[in-house]
Amino acid sequence: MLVLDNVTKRFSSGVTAVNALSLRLDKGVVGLLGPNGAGKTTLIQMITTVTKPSAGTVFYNDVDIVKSPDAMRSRLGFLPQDFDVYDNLTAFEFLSYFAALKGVRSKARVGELLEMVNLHTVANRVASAFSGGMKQRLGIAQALINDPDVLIVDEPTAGLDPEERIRLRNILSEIGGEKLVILSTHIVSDIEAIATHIAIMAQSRLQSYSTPEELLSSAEGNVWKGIVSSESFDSLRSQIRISGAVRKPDGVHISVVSAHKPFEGAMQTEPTLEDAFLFTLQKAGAETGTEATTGKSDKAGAL
Amino acid sequence: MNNALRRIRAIVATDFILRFRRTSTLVLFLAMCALAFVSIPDPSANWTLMSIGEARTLYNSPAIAFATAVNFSILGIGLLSYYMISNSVKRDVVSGVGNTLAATAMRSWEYIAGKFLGNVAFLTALTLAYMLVMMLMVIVRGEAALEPLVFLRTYALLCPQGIFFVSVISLVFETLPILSSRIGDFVYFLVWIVLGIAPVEQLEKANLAQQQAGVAPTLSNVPFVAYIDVLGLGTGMSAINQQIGADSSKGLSVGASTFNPALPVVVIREVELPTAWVIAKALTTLGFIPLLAIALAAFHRFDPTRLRASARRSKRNIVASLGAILKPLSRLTTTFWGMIQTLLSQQGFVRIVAAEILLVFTLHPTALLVLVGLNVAGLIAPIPKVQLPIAPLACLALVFFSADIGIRERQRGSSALLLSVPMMKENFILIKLLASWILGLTFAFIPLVRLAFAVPGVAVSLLVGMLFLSACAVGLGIATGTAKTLIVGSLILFYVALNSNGHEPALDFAGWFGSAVPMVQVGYAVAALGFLALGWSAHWWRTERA
Repeated sequence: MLVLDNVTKRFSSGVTAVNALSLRLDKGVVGLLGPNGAGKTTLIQMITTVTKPSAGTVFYNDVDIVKSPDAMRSRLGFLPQDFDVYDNLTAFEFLSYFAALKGVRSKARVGELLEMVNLHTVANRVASAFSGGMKQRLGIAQALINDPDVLIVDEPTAGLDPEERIRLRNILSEIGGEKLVILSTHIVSDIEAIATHIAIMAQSRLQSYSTPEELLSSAEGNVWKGIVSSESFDSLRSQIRISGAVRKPDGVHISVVSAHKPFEGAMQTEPTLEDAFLFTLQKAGAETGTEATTGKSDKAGAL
Repeated sequence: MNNALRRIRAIVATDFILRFRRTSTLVLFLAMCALAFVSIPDPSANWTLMSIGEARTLYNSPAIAFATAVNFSILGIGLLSYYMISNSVKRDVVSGVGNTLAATAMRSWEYIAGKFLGNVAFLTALTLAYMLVMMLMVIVRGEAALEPLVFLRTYALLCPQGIFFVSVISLVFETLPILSSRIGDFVYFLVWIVLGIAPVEQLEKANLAQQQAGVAPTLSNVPFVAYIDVLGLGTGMSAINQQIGADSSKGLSVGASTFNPALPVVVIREVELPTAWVIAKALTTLGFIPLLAIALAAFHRFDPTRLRASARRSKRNIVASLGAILKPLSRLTTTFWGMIQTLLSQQGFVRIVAAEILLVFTLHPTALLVLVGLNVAGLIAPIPKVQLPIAPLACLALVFFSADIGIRERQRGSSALLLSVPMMKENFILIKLLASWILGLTFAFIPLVRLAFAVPGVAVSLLVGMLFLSACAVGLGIATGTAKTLIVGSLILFYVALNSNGHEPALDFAGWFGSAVPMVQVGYAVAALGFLALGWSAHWWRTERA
């Protein structure tokens, strides 16, 4: 059980990256959603003990990990956002290095992990020459090498092709059955199929924490769809925020997240997770009087 | 083996592998082999490895072991290796691996210990490799049988202190924000000069005092020097002097020494030190280790908050502070950016070169101050002062401000962006060379004009010298991927050239003493071409082959 209580991170520049965030996380896959700059990475850095909170506490299995970081580190698998490798190490050597640092004694484990992420055929190639997707898979392998109880992956699908994304999701989903997986992303499709809970951050605060079903129901009645002409679409675009648009022979099929009927002919529709995410961000913006920016959607990944 | 030891071993092994797979290590090793061959010339040559009182020493194992160990300790360990190993923590930050390391159970002290031992392992391996090459030279050029144990004992007496010192100090400098920047590179160079000079001076003084007191100078009477003679120069020279009965180190010359062939060859025995000295050196060697506590306290453990603070503090040096004050001046350059766009719109090549130069002034506003200062000084100073010290200062400014001109885009991951500019890829080396050279010439513009009228030969030398330094900046930077190579190389060159006082025309590469003959100027121009070829090859390898 991971418990965050009033966790705040304030930089010396005066910027508050995470503001009084409280959360209790048990096993399962937790999708940490939020637009760029919401504070997701800083929150993850505090949970992974890479940086200390300015205020608040983080407990893992009743141990204060700010004071005793080893309690978390010894059970943690972490894939950071800007993961990279050394210039001259092979994939096997790189993974063996992290195996040693994490106290893994079995050499066979390195081979198993390379096979799991489909890098066993290039195990003796220098990892810096890998493509972005291959490096990311190596990063996932290093995160899993110590069979962690808590797996935290920050934007893990960057650089992965659709097939690799599905493969990664399946791995995370499988691990999430027994352990805690925190997957931070701004791409809703990364988590919609596997998340058991979704935490949404915006403007340094936790805006919502719920199951996907609860999140979807929170947006019910606030998502609209309709078909408009190309000319109307151009003018509508400047007036309202359109969450989805597809051009078809009969016009542009659009969907809009709004508390009120956004245009003539609009009909209420079932919200998707992305709609619910956008609705939460809109609410957050309305509450603080600012505009919460939305993250990018990645339909290509939603396979 | 417990987990802490396993982690330390993993860090040491990984650092060792990473360093030994670098091209620069191979280049260094090949250079060492070449140096070995050159520094131990055939006995029939008119210069030799070591001379005592103008007499050549016999090429036996004690002589070759002593001379090469001292040289390697001073230059290889004391100087070059610092610049080779002082990026082990930064490598983890830049590569992004540090973020992942920080979330493991590895403790900070394990990391620092691993990095320290990695440094020691690497430098010890380099030293052993160098020693083996020198032992081979005994077989190739020796005049007596090879005695491997003599080599081992001599190197063991003279080198470990330096290895431990550099291994510790490089980590301390790297973790202390203010010394982790280029300022640290310059500061270490000064430390190295003091380490080389101070012990020898102390020994000279002690010898003199002993002579005046009517006592035969012995090392046993000055054990305190053993503690400060980190690089072994004073120790080795004093031990040899005592062996041959000389009363000063001035009669002893190590490395590229001239000799009188008419004098009989001197045979020296293995270097031996008093027990007190051996104990003192051993204690000092281990005594550096507690200094790692500074590195441990300053180590950021890849915490982004501490890294940001560290980056801010690293800019709190004189140059950076001056740069911050002068930042508004750099806005002047934006006017020039606009002028370039307008005036040189059709002149792609010239425009790119001009843009490269202006970028230096925008990035380093201090360069504008240096430019004005040197030119004003060059205008009012008498010609001898223009020659020295204004010309060397202009050369130093060239090195400082264009050290990373060939690699700055690569270091920031924007090479592809730059190379996509029309004419850039095919003219990369030439553009970078011209930018660096013209930048240097702006620092020395008025001095050069005055020298051209007063002493034209010196002006030509300065032009060639700056071309040589620019070619080094581009060639060495691209080939080794770091600005440190140029900085350390040019600091050594400046040091040697200034110390020669113009007596050796070949060292007067930029005409500071007016002793360079046309052959010297041609020689440096050819050497510049060599460095450009090196840079071009490395650039081609990266852009076409990789």
